[in-house]
Amino acid sequence: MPTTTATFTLNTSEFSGGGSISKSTTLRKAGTATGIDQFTGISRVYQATVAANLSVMAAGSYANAQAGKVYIKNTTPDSNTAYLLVEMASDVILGRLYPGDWMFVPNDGETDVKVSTSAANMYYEFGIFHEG
Amino acid sequence: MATVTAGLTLSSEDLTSNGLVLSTPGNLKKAGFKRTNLDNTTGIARKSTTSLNQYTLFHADEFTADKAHKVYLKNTSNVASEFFTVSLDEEVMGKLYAGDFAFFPWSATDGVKQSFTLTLALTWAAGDKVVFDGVTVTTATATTTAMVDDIVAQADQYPNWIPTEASEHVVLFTARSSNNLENILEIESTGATTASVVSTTAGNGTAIIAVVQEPEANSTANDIKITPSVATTMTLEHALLYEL
Repeated sequence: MPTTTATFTLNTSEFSGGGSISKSTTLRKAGTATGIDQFTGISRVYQATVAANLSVMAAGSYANAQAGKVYIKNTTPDSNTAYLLVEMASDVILGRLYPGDWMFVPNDGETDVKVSTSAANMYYEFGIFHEG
Repeated sequence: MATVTAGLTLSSEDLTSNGLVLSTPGNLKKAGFKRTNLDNTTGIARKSTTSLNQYTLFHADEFTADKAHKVYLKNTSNVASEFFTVSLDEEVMGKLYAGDFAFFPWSATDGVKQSFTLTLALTWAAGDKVVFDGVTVTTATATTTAMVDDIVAQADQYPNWIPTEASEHVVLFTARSSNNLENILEIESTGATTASVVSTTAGNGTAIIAVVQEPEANSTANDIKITPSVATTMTLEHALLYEL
């Protein structure tokens, strides 16, 4: 089985009492020691106009009760304000990804993930690790 | 201004035929024009539980909505089958299995907060009382206006409600939390004081409540909620990076 590693680093050393952490995990199937073996690849999207509810993950295309992971990054350059509004299911707002911001979240294959662009000429990328 | 960086590296030699290497560093900045660095954090903390009960990790009401907040979560368990279910209010985001982490933006959208008015009328006397939310207000002056002022002056003492002066004889109480259904106002009948609000008057003074906003079980506040999968000890590591 494939071995896929995700490593998260957070550096807050300039805060009083802050520091840095580095956490790694192997992406495994739900409740098992078996590695996740399917991946959509990283898709890169150019969105020329402001648009709402652009699908990143349609839950209906995946099995339920899995330990999938969704990665999204706003790769729009040279902008302070162009954000991706990330929503789940029926328009439940998760948050805003500003240029350079990224997210990595679990998804059990039962919740749609969508993004809306706040400005024209935006770029973003995404990928899904899943169990089928 | 403090610099905060968060990076993600995804790697695999055998997930795809050409391997996978993705590294994405990033400085965490505030929302909006002329972005500056995020400058507030809860710090990295851990919460252990020994029950299956869902709990609210971060209340949206306590943070400014529509900013560039970021949430970090990690399941510290080593048992493959143990997971935390991560939800935004009532909507399940996904399950965080042993060793897994998550990092995501959070809009901290506020929800609907219950509110009601308390109208004081007729003759109130010095020594009359209004008891609500564990706070007893005793007026020293024999007017309804003074009683309203006395209640509002005790605003910091009410653990679950915020009283403000709606008019000379009316106090508006607003719930501090939109998802707090443990301390909702109980109404026995319109126009009467209730089990929740008790007034004691020497004369014929009245305290009449009127609901402005009903409580809602699903108030649309996107609180971050966590549900452990087992009733044995599970520990969630978490942090919130936020702006005011």
